[in-house]
Amino acid sequence: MSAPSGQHALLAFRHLRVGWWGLTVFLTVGLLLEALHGFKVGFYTQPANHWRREMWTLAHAHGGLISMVSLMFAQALGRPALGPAPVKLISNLLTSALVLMPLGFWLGGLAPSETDPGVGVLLVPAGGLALVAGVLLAAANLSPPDGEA
Amino acid sequence: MLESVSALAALAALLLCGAWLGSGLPGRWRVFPVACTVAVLLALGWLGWSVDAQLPGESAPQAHEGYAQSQTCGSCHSDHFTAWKKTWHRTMTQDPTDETVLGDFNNVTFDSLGTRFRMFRRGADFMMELDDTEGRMRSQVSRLVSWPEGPPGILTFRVDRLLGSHNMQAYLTRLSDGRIILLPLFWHPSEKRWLARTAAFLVPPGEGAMDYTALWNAACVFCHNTRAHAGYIVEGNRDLGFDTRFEEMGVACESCHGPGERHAQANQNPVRRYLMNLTGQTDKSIVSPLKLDPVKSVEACGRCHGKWHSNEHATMLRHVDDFIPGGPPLAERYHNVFATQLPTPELGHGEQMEPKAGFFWPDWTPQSTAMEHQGMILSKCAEKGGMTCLHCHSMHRSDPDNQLKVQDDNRKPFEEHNASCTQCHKALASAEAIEKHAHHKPEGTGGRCVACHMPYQGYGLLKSARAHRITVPQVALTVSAGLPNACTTCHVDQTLKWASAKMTEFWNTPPVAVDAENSVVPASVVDMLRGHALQRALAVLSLRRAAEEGNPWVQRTAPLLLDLMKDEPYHTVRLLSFYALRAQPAFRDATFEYMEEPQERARLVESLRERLPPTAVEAADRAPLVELPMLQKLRAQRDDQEIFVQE
Repeated sequence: MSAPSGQHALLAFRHLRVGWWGLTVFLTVGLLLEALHGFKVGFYTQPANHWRREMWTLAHAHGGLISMVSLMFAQALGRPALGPAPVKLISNLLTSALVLMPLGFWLGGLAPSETDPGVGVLLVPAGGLALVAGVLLAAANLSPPDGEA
Repeated sequence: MLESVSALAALAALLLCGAWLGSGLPGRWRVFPVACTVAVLLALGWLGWSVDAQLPGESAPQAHEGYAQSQTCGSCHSDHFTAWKKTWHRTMTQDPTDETVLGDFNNVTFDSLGTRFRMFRRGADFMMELDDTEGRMRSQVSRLVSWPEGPPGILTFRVDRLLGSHNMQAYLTRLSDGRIILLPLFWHPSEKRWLARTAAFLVPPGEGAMDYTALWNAACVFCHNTRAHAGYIVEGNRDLGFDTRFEEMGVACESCHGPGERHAQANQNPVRRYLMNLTGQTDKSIVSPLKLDPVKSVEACGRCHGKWHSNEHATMLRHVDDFIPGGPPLAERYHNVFATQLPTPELGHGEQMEPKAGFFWPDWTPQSTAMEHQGMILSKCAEKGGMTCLHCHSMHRSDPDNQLKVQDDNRKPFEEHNASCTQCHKALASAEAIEKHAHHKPEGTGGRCVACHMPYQGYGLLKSARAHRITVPQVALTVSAGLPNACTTCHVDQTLKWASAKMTEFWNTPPVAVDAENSVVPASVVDMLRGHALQRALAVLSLRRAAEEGNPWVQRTAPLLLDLMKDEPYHTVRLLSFYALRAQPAFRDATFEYMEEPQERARLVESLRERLPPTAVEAADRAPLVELPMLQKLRAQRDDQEIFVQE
């Protein structure tokens, strides 16, 4: 594997940083959620707060998962197969997803109604679209190594 | 507030990410993400405006509208659905399965009131067989349905449906023309035993096990299911039976909230839901009994927790019970069969009549359960204070047994802390104020508002029930009308004279003159010796409660309870006397069959009498609870009027 250069190197560094810090944040959030369970904090554990529990669990899970996607993207940036892809756009889409999805789930659990998560959950479909678009762009723009068609 | 902050944060995040995404795009495409975001927000705003424009004209549910079923409700209101699933409302009617049938059908026999029953399985079916040699069951059922002539003898019924599961479980069978009738035996879950229906209610002696049955399609179905269509089929003069249906088996969400199909469909639109939440609008497409005006809120429960009969019962039998909560006032199409005769003109439109024993005490306080509405509307709290059932009860935040609202912080029923009452009577909210007002320790049972203001004056299904006519205790009323007195139903060892003196001492009420018996004999004992059947039943139920609370004095009543078990004419009072005796330490493991023939009962009672502790016998000899002449006098005065208390 050859070392990335120029824009790819900068983006790879950015995604390594975002990915590792993202994992740090969202794994810590997981610990906090476990603590809320452990100490039976009613704000989180009571049946009436099931939306909060569900939304914040999803925030933790999606944040961790998209952080790992970010790390994978950083690794892929060093490979020639991703050479011709619009990497800046993919990078922005993945980073937006990493912000929008966990934030949407978190806001959705902050002030839910009896029947629905809070209105902040509307960020989730926007983040989801960004994630799908980013992954799709990366998949569609892969090119085979030289000499292989 | 939090919701608005959350919405603003989401909006800001969306726009920032849009702008940032655009920075990765070439040339004119840079504005594309922000433009898309703004377009989506504008579209949502337009959708919201169009939904909002529809809302003001939205009407409350109407009786003819579609029902959605509880599963649909549960998809959004999962907490409420889960809470409802734990209630006895849900199990009011069930299909018989291994999980739902509580009774013992393992080929057991049970003899009651001259009839032998056998309960057994036939494949997956639950069967009840009875020896109808005398033809009484056939005669009962023939009053309801044309049965082909047949010889008296063994009758076998398949259990097709179950009624109830909390206090009693009843068994129903479907006849050939769609009629569904109540079989003669109940299962008593807390005692794990069979009972004849006539021995579970307070029924005058002399009735056989099969002398009562009921037509489920015409009676039980309406309050034990959601939106019942009785489906009585008549062509000309020909009675073709029933094709009974209901929207949902048991008492489900839409019994209290009205038909929900339109509500469910409307709320599939997320914009509508978020708009409702963000603007705090009331969703008019469904009924919330909490938000109804007090009279209608009480009627939502009172339709079934009260005795109301349709003015057009024949039409209702052919079609449907079209009562819906929040709909037209109950009194427009139903008559409160007993309250129409109440002496309050605004409540009734019938002629004034005497209160009928078995339904009302002479002052119109209901005597049975399932008449809570009739009691409540006579309470000042409801008449003047706007009290509703939901001040004390909750369908979704309560213990399942009494559905008493619990406090969020400690899950204890509101009434244990007097919180139901102090919502309005705020001056009594502190422990000091309660002690000063009640003259009882606030932490004890006497410090609870309900102990004095909702005493045990009603009866149903082998239990006493708190009166839902909220009153001030009056010894004078006990003397004139015979209602159990709040003081002496707890202080079972005290006389009415004592109660009168205490009330004078505490609240300066005028002293009440009582007769010689009530001057020296505890009121509970007076009632069990000379009261009518309901007074006797309530007296022994009070003694049982006192024994369960550890009051040692009740051990002195053991000989009298044993006498009742032997000689009492009402089956149910004999059974309740045994339960009261069994609550005493010396009799914890005692057994007794209250339906045995008198001679066998006497033998059983005498064997139990040997368990009386010698010290208690000696004490009774030295200082009897009631001197013999007084005992004989009270027994001679026993009120033998016939009383029939159903649920």
